[in-house]
This record gives sequence, structure tokens and C-alpha cells, in this order.
Amino acid sequence: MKYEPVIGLEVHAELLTKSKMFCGCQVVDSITAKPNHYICPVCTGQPGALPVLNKKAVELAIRVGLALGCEIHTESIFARKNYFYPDLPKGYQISQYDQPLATDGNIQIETEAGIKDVRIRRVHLEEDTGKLSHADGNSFIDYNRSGVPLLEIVTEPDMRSSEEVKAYATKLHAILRYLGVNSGNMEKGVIRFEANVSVREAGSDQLNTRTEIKNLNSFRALTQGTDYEIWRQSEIYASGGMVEQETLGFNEATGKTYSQRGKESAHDYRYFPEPDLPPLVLDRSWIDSIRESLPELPETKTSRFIEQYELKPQEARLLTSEKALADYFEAVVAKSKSQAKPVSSWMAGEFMRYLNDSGKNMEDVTLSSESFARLIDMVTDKTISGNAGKTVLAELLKNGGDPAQIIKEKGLAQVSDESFIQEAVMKVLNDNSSEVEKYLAGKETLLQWFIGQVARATKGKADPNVTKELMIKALEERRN
Amino acid sequence: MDLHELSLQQAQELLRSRKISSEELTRAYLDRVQRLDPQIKSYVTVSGELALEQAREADQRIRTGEGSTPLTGIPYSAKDSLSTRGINTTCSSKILANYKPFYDSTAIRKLKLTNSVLLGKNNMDEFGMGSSTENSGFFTTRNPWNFDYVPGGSSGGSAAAVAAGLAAFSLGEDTGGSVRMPAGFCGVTGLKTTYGRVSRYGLIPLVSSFDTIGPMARSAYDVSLVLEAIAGHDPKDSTSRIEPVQIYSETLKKSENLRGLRVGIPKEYFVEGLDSEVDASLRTAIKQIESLGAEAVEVSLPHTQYAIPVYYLILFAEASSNLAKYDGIRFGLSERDGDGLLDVYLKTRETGFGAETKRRIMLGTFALSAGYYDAYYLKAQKVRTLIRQDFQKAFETCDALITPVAPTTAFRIGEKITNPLDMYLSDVHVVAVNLAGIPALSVPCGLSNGLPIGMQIMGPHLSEETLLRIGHMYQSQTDWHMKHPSCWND
Amino acid sequence: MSKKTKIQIDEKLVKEIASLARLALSKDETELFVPQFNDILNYVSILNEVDTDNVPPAYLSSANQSVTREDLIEESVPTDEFLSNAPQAKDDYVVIPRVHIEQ
Repeated sequence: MKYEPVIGLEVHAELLTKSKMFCGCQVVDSITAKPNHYICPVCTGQPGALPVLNKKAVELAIRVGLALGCEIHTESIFARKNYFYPDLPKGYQISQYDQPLATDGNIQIETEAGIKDVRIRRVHLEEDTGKLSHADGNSFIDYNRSGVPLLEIVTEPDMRSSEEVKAYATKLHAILRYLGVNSGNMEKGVIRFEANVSVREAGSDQLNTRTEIKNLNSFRALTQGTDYEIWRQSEIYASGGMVEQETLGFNEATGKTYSQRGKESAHDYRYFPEPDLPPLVLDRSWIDSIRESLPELPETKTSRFIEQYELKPQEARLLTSEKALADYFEAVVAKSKSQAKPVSSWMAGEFMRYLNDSGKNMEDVTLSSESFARLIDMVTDKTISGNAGKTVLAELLKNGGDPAQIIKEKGLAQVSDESFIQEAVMKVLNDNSSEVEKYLAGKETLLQWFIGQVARATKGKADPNVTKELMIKALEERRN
Repeated sequence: MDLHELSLQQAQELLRSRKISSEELTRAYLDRVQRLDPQIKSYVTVSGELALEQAREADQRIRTGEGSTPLTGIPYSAKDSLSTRGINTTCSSKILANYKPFYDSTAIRKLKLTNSVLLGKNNMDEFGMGSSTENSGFFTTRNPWNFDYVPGGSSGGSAAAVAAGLAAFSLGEDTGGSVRMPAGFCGVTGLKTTYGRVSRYGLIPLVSSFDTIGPMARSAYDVSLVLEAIAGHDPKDSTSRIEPVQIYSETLKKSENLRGLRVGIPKEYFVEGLDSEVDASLRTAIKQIESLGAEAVEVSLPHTQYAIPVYYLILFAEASSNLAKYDGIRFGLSERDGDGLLDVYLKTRETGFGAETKRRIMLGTFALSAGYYDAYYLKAQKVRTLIRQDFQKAFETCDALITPVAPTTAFRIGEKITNPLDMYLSDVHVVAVNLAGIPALSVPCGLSNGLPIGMQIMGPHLSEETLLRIGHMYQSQTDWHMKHPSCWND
Repeated sequence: MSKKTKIQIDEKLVKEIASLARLALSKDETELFVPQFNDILNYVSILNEVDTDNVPPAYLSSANQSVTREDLIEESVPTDEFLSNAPQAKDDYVVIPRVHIEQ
């Protein structure tokens, strides 16, 4: 019996506003901020406090809705989602139920089988809850996060494997970062993924009971959790059992999902329209102006890079994986006299390597696009060798400075002067007569070694191409 | 004349001319509270020290002449559902018995700016759930006209305080008649404001869709002075109206008669069940209003009979949600001697809430449940639209509507408390107003067996000016509002 | 219009609702509530007489629409003031008995 997974994803993304959804408290990193220092009567659910909607949150939500191809509803209403939990101070969360902000969008993902549509059912606004931590027999509540604006994005159960789930999640993640609405940091919980998983007999079109997996804090957890759950449910059906509808957590250490009793087990949220907030009626012209100011999205940018800069698809995808990186690349290309190709090599190569190794982000990069462009140009016009360029770049990224200055200090300027190089060539050949004999006897691979020796002797200054020319000539002369 | 007998205008004149000080006035009231309130029980908290501090500050202002308003130095009380920073705000519930908010409600903040003097917080039905103040988690307030009778509810404490001369005015709160009905039972003037006219920020909510704050005082004129001070748009309340606030007292001063006004008499409010003396008083009052130049016509509000079920269904639902925050976690009563977190919730809410509150929370939880939402909550909201349309239609041809405020005068303590449905049905004259969000004024218009009768004047949204005008002109020709219970002279 | 109009409340349902509402009713309270609920719910079912086809619910017609605020930061309340009301607090946190999530 073959079982087909049926998966939908629910994503909660904190919006990059300065203040909270319904009050003016500052939005802070709840992991590092002092607990309960960014609170007020509204976000701590004091009796009598009232919510007032953050306009910026609405704007960012519309941006996302438009980017995902959704229909933006000019009239939407807020609703109370009622349940008891200590991190929910009012005993209800202000969210949207009937009449959400946006519906009916889609994201295209690349699968092995080709391009596939994942339909977006809805995008709506809500507020985040506080944060709980535990020790010994107690739990501790921090309300700094309570009331932070949240966007909920829900798909139809269109995904059929953990690969598809990952493709969707990655793409959505990139889009949200591109739009500047979310910082994308999964570890900090700024974006959270929940998978709704069910399985059915291959070929069937009925929907079986699904489970909800929460706390998937990385793409890896997302795929592993999904895979485990697919397996778990398949085993249950195969042995004639029934899958129970429940909320599950995922244990990364064991790789297994586990049941989470403790949240409101009866999913009766008793939604009703929020009486403290009037209907949200949007101006068509406002929506249009937001649409016009949408940045170019990853997919469009990638296609453009391939065409405009003649990059390979792989390269283009890498450079557009982050908007800041793509913008940086284009700035360097614009300021450089070199072609896009060498710039791309430098970016995709040395630069990305540095970012990965040092664990830094684009935000931490202080090297200006002008300086980077100048450096690349100096390699292109042979002022310095490629290797020297790598050294300079590393120095610039680590400690800043000016490329020309660093080259001067480290004496890295490349020399193409033939007489200078000829001197070095002669010295190397004179000092290594046995190798010369081996070469003349047929071991041609030693040529590279000779060139390397010249590079060493001249501290990398000798132009490798000129060195090669002169070296071959000098060796041939020795043949006679 | 004793100091507590002064109207707001009289008191202000004496304060400004320095014939009396706010401190004296405040002490006079505090003295009466001390002597009479042990029997009347209108106050939950008396904040005497703070009041005297505020009185001294008011005297300072009056001395320098800076920022003096008609309410400067005037002692008032507030229903215990209005948040007052640093002062117990209990909603007459055990679950908030020692709760001190760390912020002021906007209405209180506005009164602070006038340098009026807060004497204390008044008793109410727990969280506003009731029509007699018998559902208070602490004690029942007595009707100052007869201590065996209820003062009405849920702002019973406020009404009693004003009626007995224990405050010059009081801020009450009306969700389903809670200002008007006790005003009627206690012989004082009370205004239910247009929904959104006075900010709800800081008002501990019962039904977020209906709650309003309104002044209770001894005359329409006094009510107008208080309304001017507390009304207005508040950016902290998304439901607060943006329309500017009129200077109501000026309109009243200039008013000479009611010529040109048309008042409707809705026939559905004058049916069987209406006490004959109440009916007679109303008819006389209407004649009085006609003699002032208004025209009276009969109108119909056909969906009136559905107002109570609509009101209660929406109340149950919203209250069940609004009361979820009383969980023993961040403030208020917290029972921690049980077994884990769930017990904190269960024991706190079991001990903290009274029977009527529990009943309503349960009914609301039920009405909103999956499967029942459409039949109950949604249905009620649809019928509510029809009730609103009834009023809209009536106001196409009338400037105001006049009805009794209750089918009877005050009932005995204990008479209706055993059957919740009986209690709900006594709200028949008042709840439709809350469903439509319109304003309504209750003014005394008679006495029956020593108990006051109240007349209700309703108007379209933001028509407080018209209602107060009618009330004021009526009061210029009659003296029901100047009659007092015998304890007034104690 | 739903046909669930002649609803019968019994003790089982009352207990379920009480649990949803985090109310621990005593046996007496439960017994007392059952007939009271039945009375009240039967009374409100009078609304079924009213034809509400094509009548919009009242919550969609608000005097206000789209009330929003600018994304500006306002001062927060001092932590100790907030915690002064908490039944139990420690190191700037609100403390409660442990929330259990089974592994």
C-alpha cells in the first residue's frame, strides 16, 4: 500500500515594525531584552485597556499579500480567538477569522518533477503571545513579545513531500526578507513554521485526519519532522489503526514527533468579531501605491541576472538568495570597470566563503561597493595578482581600510617588469639544477613548480603569465 | 442650606467667591459618607485622604484663578468599574477585591484635569451583571428612599450616592440600562451617552459593543456640565467618536422652550405589565413636555419584544470573552494552594466569581461554541440590525422618544434574585437603546408609595444636546428632581 | 437558520462548558444551572420567529472605520509597577506553577 503525504504549511512571521500591533510598546528581541520591560496596559491584558491598530503592520501585510499574488480585501475584520494559556494575557488573541486581509494567492516552487503551484489560502494579521520559560516546578512569563505584530500565511494542503515543503518554506522565507517585512531569523523564532500533515492512499482524493507539528525551528527540523510524521502515520494506517487529530512537537535530538497535551485540546476557539476594533476598510489607491513600490522579487531578479549579467542559473540564484547581497552585487558591477563575470566570481567565491566562515551577515559587511569594485578592477588590470587580491579582500573584510593602502603596506603590487622577473627566473633555475634536468628529461609538470618558486621568491609580485612565458623560454634555452 | 444640597452651579459660585473651600465641601461629603453609608452601602472604597489632597489642590487653583472649570473642587464618586490608578478598582467582585490599576481610565484622567475631587468608588452588580446591585460580590446597596428596596443596577451605588447626598455627581456606566434604571429607581438624573461619545479606555468591560460611561447627578444641567468634561475623542479607544463635543450647558442656558421639537411615544413601551402609577406619571410628564411647545406623536418600534433576548445573547458571548483575563496569573485574586496551573485557573475563578457571573460566562461560552454560533450569536446580531433600523425609522419623524425607564418602581431586595430570567425581563424598557448605541436620559417624573418613577428620553446618535434640553426644560417646570429621601436631611 | 433551537442542556454539557470556561462548578451549582440554562435558552429561541434572511449582522456597521495609529514607539510602563500586582513575581518575570507539555 503506497501512502501519499498531504501537507499544508502555516507560517507565522513577526512584522518588522517599530512598535507593537495594538500599542506603542517597542518591538524588541525578546531573547536579549530584559523581561517585562516593554509592556503597557494593552499588551499585558489589563482590565479596561483597548487595542489600536498599527498602520505599518497593515502596510507590510498588504505588501506580502500582493507579493504572493493574493486578492487584497478592501474590507476585513478582526476577531477574537478565545483560549486559556498563561502567555495569552487577555484570554483571547486578536486575530482575523471570517473576512481576513488577503486570500487566494500562490507560490511556485521547483521540484524534481518540474514547477508546481502551492496555493496560499489566506494571509491575515494577528498579535503574538508572551514567552514562557520553565525551571523546576515553575514557569516564568515575559510579556515583551506579547502584542508583537504577526502575519499568518496558510497554504492549501498542496505539498506532497518534505522536499516540496522545504522548497516552499525557503522561497517564502526569501520573499519575506526581500520585502523587508521579516528578518528571517528562525532560531530567534521571528519566523515560525507549522506543518499540517496527513497521508492517504496513493490515488485517493479524500482528506484524512491531519496532525499539526509545531516548534519546527529550522529548515532541517521542518523536513525531518515532516518526514517522521509521514512515516508515523503511514505505519499507523498500514497496521489498521486510526490517526488521531492532535498537536505535536518535534524533538530534534530523537528526530521524532511527540504529542503535546496542555494547549486547549478542544479546538473550539469560539471566534467572534472583535468589538473593540472597527472594520478595516482599505483605500484602493493605497493598495495600488504599495503595489507600485514592491521591490523586485527573487524569481524575477534571478531571471534578470541571468539575462542581464550573463550569469549561470546557479550563480544567479546564489547572488539573489538575499536581497542585500543582490543589491550589493549590482552596486559593485555598476561601479566596476570589469565585466559582471569576474565580479560574480569574486562575490560567489571569496566573498560568500568569508561570510559563511565568519558567520557574518550582509548587515555586518562594512566594505563599500566602491572599494570592492576598485579591488576587483586592480586584479582585472593586473595591478595585483589574483592571489594578492584574495589577501587584500580578506584584510578589507576583517579590518576595513583602503585597498590601495593595504597593497602598498603589504607590498603586494604585481610586477610585470620583464627584467625583474627574468632575474628571479634565472635565480630559480640556477638554484635548482637537478629539477631543471628532470624537466628537460620530460617531467613537464615541474613547470608549475618553477613558476611557484618564482612567485615565492618575489613574494607573489611576479605576474604569473609573464613568469610562465619567460620560464618556458629560459628552460628551452637550457636544453641546448 | 447644607453643603451637600448645593447644585454644581451653586457650589462653583461659592467656591469661586471663596465663601466656601473645596476642602470644606469635601469634608462635608466625607462626613455624610461616614455617618450614612454604613446603612446605604453605596461605597466600596472611600479614598478620603486622597480626596482631601485633591481638594486642597483645587483650592489652590481657585485661589490663583488658573484653569478653573465648573467642576473644579467638586466632590464626586465613580462606579467601581472605572480604573483609578492606585485606588482599588474591584467591579464589586471578589476576584478584583484588592486590584489597584497602574493607570487611570480616560474619563477619570479628564476629571483629574478639572481638579474635581474623587471621594471613592461605588458599589455595583459584579462586573455590571445585574439590575439591582444584589449581585455585588460584597454587599447590596440600599435604595435611599426605602432601605428595604433595591437601588436598581448595575450602577446602584452611584445612584444611591447621588440620591442620598453622598456625592455631588457620580460617573456611572450603562450597558443595558445600568445608569438609567438606578437613576429612575433613586430619583436622580442619569445619562446613557451615545456609544463612543465618552472613551471606554480604562473602563473594565462587560459588553464591549454596548458599554458606555455616563454622568449621574441631580439635574440635567449638572449632568451637562459633567458630560462636557468627560466626552470627546480618545486615540486610545478605537470605538470613540471623532465628532466634536458641544458645550451642552450653554445650550441649556439659552433654551426657552421646546417649540419645534417632536417627541415620539413608542406604543410597545406602554403595554400590559406597566404599573398603572408609572403609566399615569409618564402621561402627565408627556403633557408637561407638550405644554413646553413640543409635539407628541405615537410611533412604533416593532421589534421591541426581541430586544431582551438579543441583548442577553450578545452580553453572554462578549462577557464570557472579556472575563477570561481573570485567571489569577497577573493580577487580582489568585488561589495558589491547588495542584498545578489548571487549579490556579479553576479555583481562582470558582472562588472569585459570583453565581450570576458564572452563569453568564457559561451561557456565553455555549452561545459562541462551534455549532451554536449561527443559531445564537449571529442570529442575535442580525435581529439587532432590525432593532437599530426601528429606531432609525422612528427618528426620521421624531427628535426624541419618551418611555418609562422601568415597568415598575424599585422592587424589594430579594424579590427577583432567585430567578435570573425574571431579573432579565425587568430590563425591557432599557436594553434596546444599548443595542442601537443611541443616547438616553433618565429624569425623575413622579413618586409612587414613596419610591421614585423615572422617565426615559431617547434620541438619535450624538443627540445628547436635545435630550438634555428636554430634560432641563422639563425640570424647569417640575420639581420631582428636587425631592429627596428623608436621609437627605440626616 | 439552524434547527438546533430546542436545545436540551444536561449535566454532561454543563460540565463540558464549565471546563472550556475554566470554571470548577460544585455539584449543587451544576444541578442548579441545568434548569436555569434550559429556561434561558428556551426563552431566547423566540428569535427564531424573526426573518433575518438578507439582514446583515450589526457588527459590520460601525460608526468608525479603519482606525489606526502611526508606528511610533511610546514609553512602556515600569516593570516594577506592572509586577506589583502579580500574585507571584521573580527577577522581572511573572511566576506561575509549571506549564506541563508531555514529551
